[in-house]
Amino acid sequence: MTHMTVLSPRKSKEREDARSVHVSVKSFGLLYGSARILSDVSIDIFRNTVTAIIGPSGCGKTSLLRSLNRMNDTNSSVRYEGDILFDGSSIFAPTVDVTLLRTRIGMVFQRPNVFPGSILENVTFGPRLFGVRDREALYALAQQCLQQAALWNEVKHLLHKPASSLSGGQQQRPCIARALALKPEVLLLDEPTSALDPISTLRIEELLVTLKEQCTIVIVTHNMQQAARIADYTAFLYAEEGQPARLVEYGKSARIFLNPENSLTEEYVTGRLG
Amino acid sequence: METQRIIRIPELPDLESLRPLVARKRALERAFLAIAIVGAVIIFGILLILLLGVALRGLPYLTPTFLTSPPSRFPEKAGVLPALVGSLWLIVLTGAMSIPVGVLSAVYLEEYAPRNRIRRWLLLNISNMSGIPAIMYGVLGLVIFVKLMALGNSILAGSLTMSLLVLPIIVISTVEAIRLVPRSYREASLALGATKWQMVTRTVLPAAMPGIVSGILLALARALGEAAPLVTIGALAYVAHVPTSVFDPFTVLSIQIFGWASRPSSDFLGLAAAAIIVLLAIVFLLTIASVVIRTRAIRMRGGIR
Repeated sequence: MTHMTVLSPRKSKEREDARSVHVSVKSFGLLYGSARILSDVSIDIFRNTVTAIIGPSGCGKTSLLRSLNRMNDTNSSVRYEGDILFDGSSIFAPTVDVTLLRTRIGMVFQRPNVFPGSILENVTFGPRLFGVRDREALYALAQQCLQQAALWNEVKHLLHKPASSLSGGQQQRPCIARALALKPEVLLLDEPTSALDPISTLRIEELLVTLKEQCTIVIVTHNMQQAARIADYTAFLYAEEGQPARLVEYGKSARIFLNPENSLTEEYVTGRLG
Repeated sequence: METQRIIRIPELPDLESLRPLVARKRALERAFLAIAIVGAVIIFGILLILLLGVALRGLPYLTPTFLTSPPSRFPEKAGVLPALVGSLWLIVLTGAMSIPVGVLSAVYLEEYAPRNRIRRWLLLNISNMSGIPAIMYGVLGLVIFVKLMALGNSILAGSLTMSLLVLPIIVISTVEAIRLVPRSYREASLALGATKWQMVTRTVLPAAMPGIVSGILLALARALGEAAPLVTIGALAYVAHVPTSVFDPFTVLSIQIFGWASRPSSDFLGLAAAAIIVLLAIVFLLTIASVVIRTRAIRMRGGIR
């Protein structure tokens, strides 16, 4: 592991600057086999902000998100164009170790997917993959992450119970805590609340807004109110019939929702499109 | 101005005219239910008759001497100890050899092998292997293990032969269990920085554990009951000494049962029945162990049923 570079080391100077670019998507395109899904997407994602990706179903939001931590690599028919820079270096460079990249860019999926095993085992899964064995350290870490995920008080007496025994609405938060346990610098969320009830959704939204203090958040959502509520920046992707998806507009959420430049964006955010 | 649509509600046929139709449906349903019940009764009846027959004949012969003595031509002195020990050796060695090989083959086929024609062809053939007559495995074992590797009619040769016989069962059931693990588990594991091998060992296999355990139970129960392949490789019907190493000649319960059951004296039929009870007890213990493991894997760890 020590022989592999994980992109450039963390730069403390840049972390202080709230407006520095953390992830930069440059003329990015994506193809499944010969079918083009995305073309020419360029977005600068800023450090310690929440960035929402919105757009109609099937417009490549999830494909774009999954490219940011190279989850699309698991599908061998995917090809990329352009580049994605993380802390200024390409995530596709041959020296990048993809498993280490994923510890720095965490991901939470659409449906809660707790693993077989206790809540404690779930939350400490990532650190244990990297050889952390010290029980007390793992316990302390689990407590910290569950507190960050606003779940600690509900589960502190249930840590050794199977995570699958939590209710459906509760299961997404251990998944977030599990991703946080690796102290990711970027957290990707793929419609994390679409399978949840309104109250659980609200708690996760509040959670994300507080989490941006420690990491950059990118969230794919179908829910425009959600994007307007929590996102500092919003990107609108759109695919015309039979065409690959493209980036229509990107900017501060307030402007995208209140004063969009593009007429497509306006139609979409006002509910007349999609 | 919008034109008003007139929605016509279809009239229901009057209830009296439907009565005969309903009555016919009810009768048909009762008939199917009766057939299903008869089927269930036949299955349980056969099981009950078998168990009762074995118990009535065998229980009088199931004495402490029976469990602790070697076979003898005097029924009152005859026992099952060498066969019992032979069966236990065989089951432990067969498990130790076939479980790792079988589970790892399944992991390769399901997680690593490229999805191509060769893989499909392999899976198809492994499925078909479980349909090959057991005695063919005996012939294979005789040629390879007994003669070529010069292991003789030893426990080791017997266990290797049995491993060949049960491997397809373990591979196929493990492949099925692994296939049931949702893609989302794998992705979540990878997204936390797991390598593929970590994903398999820490996420996929624990989740698939209940299914894998069921397959192993089926395989080991089969290995316990088979006699033909072992007879082919030269396991003996009469072994007076308890085997002490894997290179010793041996017999197993199923061969012992066959040996006694083919004698005319009713005393030996009773001994055979008593040995069947011992064999059933081992299978029963195996089943209980697998239920315990499955329940733990499902309840405590959230594995997939």
